[in-house]
Amino acid sequence: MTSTDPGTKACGLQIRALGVAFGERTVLDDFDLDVAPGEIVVVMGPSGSGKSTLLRSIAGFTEIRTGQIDIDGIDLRGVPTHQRKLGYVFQDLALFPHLDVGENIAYGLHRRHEPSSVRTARVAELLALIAMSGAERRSVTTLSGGEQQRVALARALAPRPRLLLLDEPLAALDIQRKTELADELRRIITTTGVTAVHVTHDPDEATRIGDRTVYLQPR
Amino acid sequence: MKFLRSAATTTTTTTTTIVATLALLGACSSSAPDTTARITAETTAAVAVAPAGTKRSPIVLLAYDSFVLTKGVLEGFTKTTGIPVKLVTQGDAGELVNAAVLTKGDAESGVLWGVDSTFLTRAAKEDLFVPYESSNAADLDPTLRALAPKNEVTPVDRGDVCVNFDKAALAKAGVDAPKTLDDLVDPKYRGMLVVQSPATSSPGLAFLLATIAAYGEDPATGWTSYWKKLAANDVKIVSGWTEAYETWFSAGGGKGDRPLVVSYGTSPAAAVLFGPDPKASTSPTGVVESTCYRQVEFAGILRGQPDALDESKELIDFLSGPVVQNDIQLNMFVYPANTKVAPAKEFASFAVSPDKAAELRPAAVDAGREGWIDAWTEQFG
Amino acid sequence: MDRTIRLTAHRRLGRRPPRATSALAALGAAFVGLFALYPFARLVWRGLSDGRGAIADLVRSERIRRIVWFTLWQSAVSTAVVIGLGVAIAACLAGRSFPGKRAALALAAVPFTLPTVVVGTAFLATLPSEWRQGRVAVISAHIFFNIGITTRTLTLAIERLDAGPWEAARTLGASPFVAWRTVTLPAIRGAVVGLAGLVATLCLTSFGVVLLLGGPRYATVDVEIYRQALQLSRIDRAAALASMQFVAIGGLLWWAGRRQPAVGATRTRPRVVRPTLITLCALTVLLGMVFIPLTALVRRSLRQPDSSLGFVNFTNLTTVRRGTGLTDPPLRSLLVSLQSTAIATALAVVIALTLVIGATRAPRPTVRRWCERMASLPLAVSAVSLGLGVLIAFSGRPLPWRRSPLLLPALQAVVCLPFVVRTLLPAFAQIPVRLSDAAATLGASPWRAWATVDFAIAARALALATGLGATVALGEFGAASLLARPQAPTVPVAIARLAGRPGAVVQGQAAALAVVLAAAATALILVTEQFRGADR
Repeated sequence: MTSTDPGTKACGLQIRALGVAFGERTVLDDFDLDVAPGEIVVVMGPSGSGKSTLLRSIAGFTEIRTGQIDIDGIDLRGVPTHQRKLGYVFQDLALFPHLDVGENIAYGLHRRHEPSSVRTARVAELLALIAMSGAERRSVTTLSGGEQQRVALARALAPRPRLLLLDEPLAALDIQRKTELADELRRIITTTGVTAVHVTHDPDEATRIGDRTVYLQPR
Repeated sequence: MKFLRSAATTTTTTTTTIVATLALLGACSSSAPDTTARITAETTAAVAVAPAGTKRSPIVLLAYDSFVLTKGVLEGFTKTTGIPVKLVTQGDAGELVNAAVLTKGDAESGVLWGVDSTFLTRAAKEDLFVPYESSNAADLDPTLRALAPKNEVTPVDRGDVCVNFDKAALAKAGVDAPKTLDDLVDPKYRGMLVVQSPATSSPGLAFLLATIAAYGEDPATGWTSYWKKLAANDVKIVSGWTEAYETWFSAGGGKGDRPLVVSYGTSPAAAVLFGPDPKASTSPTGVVESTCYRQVEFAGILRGQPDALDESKELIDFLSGPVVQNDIQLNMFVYPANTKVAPAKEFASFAVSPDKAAELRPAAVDAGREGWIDAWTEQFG
Repeated sequence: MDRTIRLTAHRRLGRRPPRATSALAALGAAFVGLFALYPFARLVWRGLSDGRGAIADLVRSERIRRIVWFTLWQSAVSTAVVIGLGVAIAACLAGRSFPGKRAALALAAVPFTLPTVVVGTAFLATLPSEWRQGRVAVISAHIFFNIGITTRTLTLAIERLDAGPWEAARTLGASPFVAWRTVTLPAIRGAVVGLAGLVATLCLTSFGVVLLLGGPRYATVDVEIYRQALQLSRIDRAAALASMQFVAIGGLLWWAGRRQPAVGATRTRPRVVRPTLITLCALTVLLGMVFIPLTALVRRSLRQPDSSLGFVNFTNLTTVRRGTGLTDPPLRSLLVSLQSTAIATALAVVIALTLVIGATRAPRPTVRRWCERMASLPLAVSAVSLGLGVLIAFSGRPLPWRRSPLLLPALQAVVCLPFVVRTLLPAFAQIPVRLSDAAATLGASPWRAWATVDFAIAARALALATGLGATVALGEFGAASLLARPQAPTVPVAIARLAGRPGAVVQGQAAALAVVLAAAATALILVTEQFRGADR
């Protein structure tokens, strides 16, 4: 927690009047959110309040009906997902089952055409950060729930995203592991200094991880 | 597999293909209602019922797919003798015999119709048949009987595989019909002949045997050198009789561009009977007599059903007797083996069966067939 | 998800009476042994006891080398094209929903259920005369035969994938194409390899198509086996060739089976995308490949003997033509086929269930693996070898069943068994153990739990497997052609007999009967598809 990752440039996120609807059903309406560079914002709300939809809109998986999403003042509309330079930790983690731990973490580096030496170094660095040094060749299917969790985080962080999105990544864990990992998560995120939006419905998790919490009402 | 027998391998027998010919020609002649009626007629009923009060064992008559008798003929046999006959057809002659070999001793078998001269030795080696001298033996053509001297089988019909020609197409091309096998390699007839592969077709094999009988096996002057000349003269090789006659022959259903085809000695008669004018006095096609190769077919009693031996013997007598011998002629377009039965008048007018057609001894065919086909396929297949 | 399934299988052991499970599996295996392995063994034994040095003959023969080479070559080319096109088209169709998609995919699979004779007839009606026989004809027929089922299977496989990894790849900077290449493709590799093995096997043992379309020059090993045995009387060479083929195909299937991941992986969230122009193009290509030959076949069936258009060929199906080897109207064969198919399908499903129970519930992993292999085994015994073996094995003592009306359905059951098992296995393997546990706590005995839980849940897959098995049995040609009782041919055999005779009337009947069969197969597939519903 002493120094932030020098490679990461923290960016700000501005959401203005965001509206998302699936057919007739409005999920988000006139939603505003500002996240300062390096800030960790937790979005809370019950099921169906549009938490996941918010993240999917930022990532570009869901089409937005109205409003605008900017990162550092640049409009994201029309930018395809793979060019948005985001990190996303999915609720079900979505690790690549055919790749080992190291390859999972290096995946985003490959896509940015980083040379092999850089990839190796960065993977080792992140494994150290998540306290799993030396786990490069392990199969992701043999990891425990908590380990999978941390690998998913490392994979999202490896290519130094402008913004980290976390979609209830701790939901599947038991209470004790959850508490431990929530603290760990905050440590790792603040170490890298990345701006983060974390979605959860657990108030305890919200206070442990976030700098600030916003609430979404179900519609 | 049935497909092979019929479409690709075609028919080891004269009969199959001749019947096919008539179906083909008949169908092309929409102006011949009686012809159509004829081929629409019901095929022979399979099962006959024995009259009440008689106690005879039922027997099976095993034949190739194209075996046809006029309706009522087999039933007549059952009526007179009280023996129920079940007709079972299976494949072409080659498949029929080889399947019989594989299933030797199968309890249900009775009489097999359709082992031909090229498979005779094979059948004898396997001891497939119970020897029996037909009660009609004295009437049967002695040259045919000589092929099976121990009476293990009884000759029932004969036919010839010969080169056929399309009279009109040759006239249009301004050439006479060929007279000999040698003529076929004359540049005059370049690109005119279509033949079947001996590897997949029985008329094709018969034609190969005809060339072997004519030229021998000497590497320099024998059949291979003849075939090289044929190939140089642009002979067309196809897989089966149907394709050769229907697709490529200029007088066949497909109106192809080849006026010469390997077919049967009776094909011209079929071409008339099932052509546009069944009463025509000349046939649109002719036969090159010196190219004919003799095929003889036999019937025999299959081993394995001792309790129906007498019934089977009676069926052999019936098959070689006048009723069946007469009936097969226009049904299967073959000549009777029984000399007391006069050849059909249509045969006399249009068909050809030379007194001295080429023929190899069954044992020689059995010994050489495989090697010849292999050698042929290596070079020309 | 993988883990859950494996655990499931292990944890069940204590609960199921192991002996009963093994006994059931043994019953299924015995059936396969009796109707596939035993005839094949008899064929090989008959060949060996001939003792004419067949193997040396075969090795020396230039012709055999050429046949083996052509067999491998056409199979490799056909498989490569089918898999390549299938993967590409599936990639364009998967996840994109549009009206009629399910029906289109189902219809595309129709050629697979058609007997090879019909496929051959369709191609004779499609190709220009210079291509009607030869390599191009054989390969295009094989593509036509396999492309629909391949595309459909791959599309469903992709749609079964969880969207998560794909989306993760996208956020990590992968373009849609790169994400597809690095995430989707590896995920379906097992399915691709399995399909490639299946398609290659079907092409390697192709008989009817090659016979009809290969022309005088091109033959496959199966055609040669037939020729050696039934034309040249060299049963020894036929047996040697059949053994070679058995070993090669058995090896291929073993390899393809090992490369397939353990079944499982229920998807959590499918990826749905809007259809684009590319989707439309892919669909057009797929349906074009399938429907051009089918349309040609239909057109052929409507061309009457006098060259006008109409339904005379169909009305002719109720009349008998002499010289066709058929003693009853051709349409009667439909009745024979339906009876035989019904018995065969019922047998196949019962046997498949015993093997599936063995493959998922047997106590020992070895037994489970062998159950799976037994189910695939009939694919390695080609139709021709099976037919020849059956002629030998079931004539005379000790099993004089050759003329039994039940022999054909039994063989057809063996032939469609691999397809039925392939449909059932994933469904049964996916049922979580908790459900039976729950049933047990509510007082259900193990067998009752199986019947009321597993069986009930897999009922949909069972219906699907029944339909698939029925279509395969309906179109079965190889075994039927050697065994159909001559007076009572099945539809494919009747088509072959008619198609093998020249003459416009008979050829018209053949085309009409082929259309009837194709229509029956299509109807069966569409009905079966209804059961896929909630599965998707």
